[in-house]
Amino acid sequence: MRLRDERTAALLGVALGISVLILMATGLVSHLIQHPPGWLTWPARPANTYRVTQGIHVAAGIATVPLLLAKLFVIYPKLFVWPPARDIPHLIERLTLFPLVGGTLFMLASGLWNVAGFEPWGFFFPVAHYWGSFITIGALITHVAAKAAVTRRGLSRPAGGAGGAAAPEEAGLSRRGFIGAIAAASAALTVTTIGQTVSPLRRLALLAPRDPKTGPQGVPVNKTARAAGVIAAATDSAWRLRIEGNVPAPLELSLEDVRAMTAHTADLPIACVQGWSAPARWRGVRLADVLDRAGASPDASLRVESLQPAGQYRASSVNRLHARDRDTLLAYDLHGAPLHLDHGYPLRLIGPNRPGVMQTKWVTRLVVE
Amino acid sequence: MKRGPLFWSGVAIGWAFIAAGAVGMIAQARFAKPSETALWIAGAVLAHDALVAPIVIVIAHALRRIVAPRWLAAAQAGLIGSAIVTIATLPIVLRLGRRADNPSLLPRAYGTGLAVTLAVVWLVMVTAALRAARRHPLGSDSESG
Repeated sequence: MRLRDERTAALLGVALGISVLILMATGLVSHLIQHPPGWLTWPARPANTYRVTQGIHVAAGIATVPLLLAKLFVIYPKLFVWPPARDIPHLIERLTLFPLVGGTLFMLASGLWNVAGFEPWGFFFPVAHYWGSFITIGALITHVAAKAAVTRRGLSRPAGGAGGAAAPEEAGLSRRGFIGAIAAASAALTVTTIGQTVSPLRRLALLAPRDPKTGPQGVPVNKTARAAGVIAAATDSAWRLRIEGNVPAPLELSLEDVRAMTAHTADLPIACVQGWSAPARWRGVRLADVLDRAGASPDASLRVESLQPAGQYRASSVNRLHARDRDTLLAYDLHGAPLHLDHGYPLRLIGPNRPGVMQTKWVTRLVVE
Repeated sequence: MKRGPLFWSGVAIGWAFIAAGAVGMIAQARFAKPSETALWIAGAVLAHDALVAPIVIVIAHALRRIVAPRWLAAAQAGLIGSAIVTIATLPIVLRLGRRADNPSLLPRAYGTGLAVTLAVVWLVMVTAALRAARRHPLGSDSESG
């Protein structure tokens, strides 16, 4: 079939390669923010950076699905070439296709299903997705090096060259039509999902797993108070905020004490690792004011701990730039009303340029480092 | 085929990354569950090569027999678009990840959403294919690429 030629494979290959580079870069950003190495103090500004990079990560992953399926369709007959390997290099090249195809399918499917809240597996998604990316990208590096010459040939051949016009006219899609249909499928998936990130387009988001305006107080929730197992502790009148660690004057504040401090308002999105983001207006006390009150050093970093008894996300690290940002709040109000339990009542962390999982809810302890 | 330094450095660097991924999974085995992850990866290859691809080929051949040549491109484009959109969004449409405690997850009427999306996809694909066919009628000398 004329679609299954070098040129179609090369064009799709280049598009896939660009997608994977975008996915790798944005994925790495998200990983580094959540597991910062010593050299990285992730800035608090511009406030929407993570919202954009992670929105791109998920949107690009969704848009890449048609490219991958098209590429697999085009090259499928080559699975059955005979002999299976001409020589050792060819054997290596073909063996690398297993981690390449399996890895890419795994990365896209696991990412898409995770975003959809569907996790029929036993592994912890972020860790498997992270290491899976090494396998996939490694296989891609080998593949690109092995296919460089073929790809260059496929791209340089003018459309309708040896494989195109010389072949007898056939009914059905042309190469251009096929690639157009794949691009249209990508566009359809993008248009019907991007509104979960770009809220002005939310009415078009017919197939998005989230709506930025649906949830308690008009803001979506990732983990509920019930799922976190904090309902009793969060509603207990014995709740206190403790400020401990490397401070001269450890503090213990009730919610009334916190509300008695100077209040500030911040317009900051919840930007979820799952790609959706929702604008919101928060009111609370500046984290910096609380730290000052306990006498913490102005360049101190800290750990913010939740009432959540267990789980990967029960605490988050706040570096010195985030701790001192004027918009980093311990918030008690959302959109003018007390925080809903699912949004972290009685007190939650909210700061600029942080992944949603690091906007710790049900805060009970600050450990200054 | 003669293989130069580009190929061999690609093999060395690429497989170093693959090894790093495998070692990383094993080092964090409690979270990454390497044997299960390997099964998913192998299963993905198998599901495509042994199931999805043959089904697509059978449908593609059937289409050529059933559909008149002048409508074939439109039918192919419509089927490609709707099959891909459906496969990609199926877990969302079926709300497989829904949780009773969290109504903000998967809050929409996705059956209707998919139906509307597929209708638009068909409309666009058929229109584009028919316009292309009018520009380059079958049997004309113009190239097809």
